[in-house]
Amino acid sequence: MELKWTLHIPHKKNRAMSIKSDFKKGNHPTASIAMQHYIFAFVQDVINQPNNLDRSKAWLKEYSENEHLNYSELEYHLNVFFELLAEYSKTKSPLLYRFLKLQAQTCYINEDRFNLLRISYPYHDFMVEIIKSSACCHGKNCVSSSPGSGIVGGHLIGL
Amino acid sequence: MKQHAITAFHVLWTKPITLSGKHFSMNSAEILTMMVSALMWQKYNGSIKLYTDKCGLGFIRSMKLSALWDGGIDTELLENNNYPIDPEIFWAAGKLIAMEAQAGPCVMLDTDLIVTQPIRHLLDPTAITALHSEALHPEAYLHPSLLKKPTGYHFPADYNWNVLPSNTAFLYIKDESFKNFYLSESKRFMFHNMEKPAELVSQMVFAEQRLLSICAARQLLPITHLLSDPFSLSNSCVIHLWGFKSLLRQNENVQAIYSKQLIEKFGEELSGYPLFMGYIGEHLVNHNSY
Repeated sequence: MELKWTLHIPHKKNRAMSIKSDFKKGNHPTASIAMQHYIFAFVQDVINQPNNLDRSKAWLKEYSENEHLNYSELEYHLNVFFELLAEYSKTKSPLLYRFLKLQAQTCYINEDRFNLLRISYPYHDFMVEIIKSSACCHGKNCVSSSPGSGIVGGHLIGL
Repeated sequence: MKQHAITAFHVLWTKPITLSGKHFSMNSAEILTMMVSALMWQKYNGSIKLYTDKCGLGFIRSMKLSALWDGGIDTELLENNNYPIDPEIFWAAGKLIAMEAQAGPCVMLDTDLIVTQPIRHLLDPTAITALHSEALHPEAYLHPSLLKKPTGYHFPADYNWNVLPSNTAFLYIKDESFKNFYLSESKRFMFHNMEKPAELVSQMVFAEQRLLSICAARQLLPITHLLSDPFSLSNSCVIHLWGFKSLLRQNENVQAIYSKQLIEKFGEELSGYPLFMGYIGEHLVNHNSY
């Protein structure tokens, strides 16, 4: 799967850390059912027919504006999703798959719809990855006695 | 909330990195984790102090985080310490040096570990509490004959090599005399132990994690663990990045999603801390200016 999704993002320095500042519970932005359908169709389209990207983007922007949905924010989240998808396609890592699902939700794609995207499943499940992986991590990025790349208590923050 | 407070400390020892000429840095997700770690400890469990060196302090100041530790920042200890320890081999020795100086009982808290609720009642009845036990994976916990030793060093005959190591990302020691015994055994192994191993895990995890359990067994002190299984879904009080740091450092998108999850979980709870809000506002929030 070759993804040609590229977006204009001038603030590269802060790109990866683009996070909403509104902490109040239940104050998350919502999208109408119609908009959710459209975003899902858009993502499907980008995955299956990346050549139509410019036209699809223009429509997505128009739909978003009609819905008073913040397009630049949606564009950012979709960009993270597609970049992550490209990385996942190379590794099939269970952990990245989890992150991909989470990011899909940020893009208003729920788990049922995510499953319809036909993204191939990871090679093995998360716990198996932990058990099978090396007993310790001593690559250039990490020195610890940890088994694999698991996060302790990840479930407490939805990971 | 802090009437039964217990003091904790963070350690940011940059020498293992800067000694080889590398630039010390932390990514935004790691910094955010450290902030949440310090603030959640203050909120629920007590005061927290930072031990670092000049380079670490420079980094903290550049991030405008000097006020994060209500117990203050100590740079003298690590900056002036001249123990004969190789920082590359014993990259976590700064923690042990700080523990030696810190009056007990206290908690040694890694900067990538968050305690999410009050735990004093769990610590009070224990002599030693560590995060969790670890399996004796032979790649990390080498057979004693394979460990590099300083000249003239011998393992005491009564070391019990069958006890499981304890993960010390969280470590509470109540008894000062046990703390001194554990640290003296650890120093005896680390001092003048300069032969480079093939990897950089085994020597350090022996000196810090396996020796803790061996020393406790030798003194017939039980070690309590906060978690019976590190990946148990019944864990309701600890988040520890552990091996996830590796993925986090490689992938900006993973950093973004992880940070978002962390802020969703703790943002409201910590919104009364101006430092936290300021950091998020300055470094993490999408201003949608594009």
